[in-house]
Amino acid sequence: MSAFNVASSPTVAVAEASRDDLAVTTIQPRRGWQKLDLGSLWQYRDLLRYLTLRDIQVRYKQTVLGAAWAVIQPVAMMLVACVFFGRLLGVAAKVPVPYPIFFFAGMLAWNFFAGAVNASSMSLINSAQMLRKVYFPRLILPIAAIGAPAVDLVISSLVLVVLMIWYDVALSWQFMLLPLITVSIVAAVLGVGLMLAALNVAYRDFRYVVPFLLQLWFFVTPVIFPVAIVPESWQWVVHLNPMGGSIEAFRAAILGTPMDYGAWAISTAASMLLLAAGLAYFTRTERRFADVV
Amino acid sequence: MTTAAIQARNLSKSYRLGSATSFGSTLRETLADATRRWFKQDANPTNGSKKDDTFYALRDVSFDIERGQVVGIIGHNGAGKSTLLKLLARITDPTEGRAEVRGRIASLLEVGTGFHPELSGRENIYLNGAILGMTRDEIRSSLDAIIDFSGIEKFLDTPVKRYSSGMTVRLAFAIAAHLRPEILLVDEVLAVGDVAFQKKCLGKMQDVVHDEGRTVLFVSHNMDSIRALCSQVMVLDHGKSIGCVPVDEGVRAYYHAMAEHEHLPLSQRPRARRCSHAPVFHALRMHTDQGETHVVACGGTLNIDLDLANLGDVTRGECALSIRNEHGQRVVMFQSQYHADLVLTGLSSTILRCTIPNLILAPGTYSIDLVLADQPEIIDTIERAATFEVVFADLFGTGKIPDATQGHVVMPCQWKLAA
Repeated sequence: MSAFNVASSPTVAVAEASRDDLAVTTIQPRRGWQKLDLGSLWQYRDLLRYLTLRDIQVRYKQTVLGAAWAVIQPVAMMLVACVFFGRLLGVAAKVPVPYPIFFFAGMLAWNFFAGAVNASSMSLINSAQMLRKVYFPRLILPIAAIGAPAVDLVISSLVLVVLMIWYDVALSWQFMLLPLITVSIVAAVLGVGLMLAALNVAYRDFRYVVPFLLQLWFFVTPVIFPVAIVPESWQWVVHLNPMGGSIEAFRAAILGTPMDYGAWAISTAASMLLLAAGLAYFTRTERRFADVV
Repeated sequence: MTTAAIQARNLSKSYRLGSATSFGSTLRETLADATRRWFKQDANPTNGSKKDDTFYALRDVSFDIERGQVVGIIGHNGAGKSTLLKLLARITDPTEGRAEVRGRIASLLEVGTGFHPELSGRENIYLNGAILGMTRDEIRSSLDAIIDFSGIEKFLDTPVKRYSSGMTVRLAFAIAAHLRPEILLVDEVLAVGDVAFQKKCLGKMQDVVHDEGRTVLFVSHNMDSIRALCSQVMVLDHGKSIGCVPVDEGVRAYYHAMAEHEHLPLSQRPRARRCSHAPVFHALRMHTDQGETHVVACGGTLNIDLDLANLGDVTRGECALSIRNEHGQRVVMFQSQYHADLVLTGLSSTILRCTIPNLILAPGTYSIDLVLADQPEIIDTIERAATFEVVFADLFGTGKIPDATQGHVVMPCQWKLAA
């Protein structure tokens, strides 16, 4: 993670003063690339907690259907996909497991990714007032925005459990890899989310880019189709997509189908690069947020 | 030798104007700028643009503030007061200079930042406390005190969207009043809320300062609360500091600076930076039946004519004229839409007349603040656009009426023996 360590002088440095035990904060202009300040993130962990809780509470308080919404939406998507892609386009024949469960497992991971990217890319401009009026580590906002989509993920995976029982899919040991796979998806979310959040502050037109980008991304990611339908010599391109190998791995871990570790590794590496780039851009531009937002 | 709580050296903050914000507001503009520079082979692009349109919100400000001091920051609109607090709070970086702050800093630039209407009062206490920099344990340990101070315990589990605005403000203040930083930065937040609650907050702030030795920087237009709270003031004028001086001296310097501005035509008066629109207010004239004047008899009629320009893009223009007394308190407001359903639209310039037929303000000196909003955005505002004098008139035929120390307004009434 040295990509974003190309810092010039450390800037808002907090050092212990020997004279009277009070921390001294130095305020001066920051220029260029910045070091990632994990210490201040830790110091503000309670804010991260309450912002995450706020998003979750607000999400489930406001809608009449509440948690049901996290179930209805992917189920409806599944039904439509089964008819059009599974049956009419014949994708079901190229999948080793029943198409509904194949699609639903991929959809779970994708919905989390898309929801979290969307929420974190809007997090800064949605909290413009906070940015203008209070100091806190800016990274907290896009990170906290991931909480509500994560809860959605947990709720909609209940449907998956029902589907697995219905189709009699047994858990394999690969299921234990799920937390690791989730980490690589979260890395991709943060990479894209941080970058878009910072760009959104500077250039308001990015607000319109995000849904479009996610839509395109959906079609190049193996959610409705298996990677197997891509010619073998071109599959590496799919895996360069940070979500490509990860979604396949996510699905394999749940359904117990053969796991392509190489593909997952390539996607994870791509996610980590994205995360490094996102963090670098975010920490470089965050000093201007309050002036511009 | 005591250690200064805040040491600032040559702090400056500049903004680039022109392209609305400090860097291009749309991607297209930025790309266009970049290509233009590329083709011009401009060796030093930032210097080139600095020449054109750099605006200094704060310029070369240096000061030391000792621990345990309460320092008031006063100055006209756009003098840099809020910018100074934002720099010290680390919300934004200085362009040049350096400051060292000893101890934990909390800032209160706005009441209830981050309040969420859907969440209950209790949930908002935790959220807002965390936003202001409190840890979970700190909030827990002062939760009862906060609830008690706010006086809203009955509604603690009601969503804040059902609160009256007064209740919301009380809750927000209660949280802020229980902040325990070494250094507290307060912008003009006490201006909202009812008077009794303001007094309670001022009392609380005094306790914090005197008993716990905390350092407070306090921005206000209300010279009464500055006098009540502060030991020193810093006067800012056009981004420059006159330095930390004793309160009386500072208040005098402030009034002096304001009086100098009063000789400028309205179009050239200092504006707050947040108003990026071209100046709308160009001139203000007051007249009574006796002609143009700054003196009006109590109970008399006052006409105020406002010359407005640069209204071309205004579609929902509403003008507000508020009157402050000598203590800086707002006494009354006249608003074109509220009072007369007059909304400015499709005009480039005009003269707007506000007639106050029965000016029952108690004798004293008053100032006029002007605000023009293209709803919902404020596009121009001038503080102390003009001052006027209300003088005695024998309204009741008794030779006496109450003066400004006895009440804000003079109203007719009947007295008789009812026994």
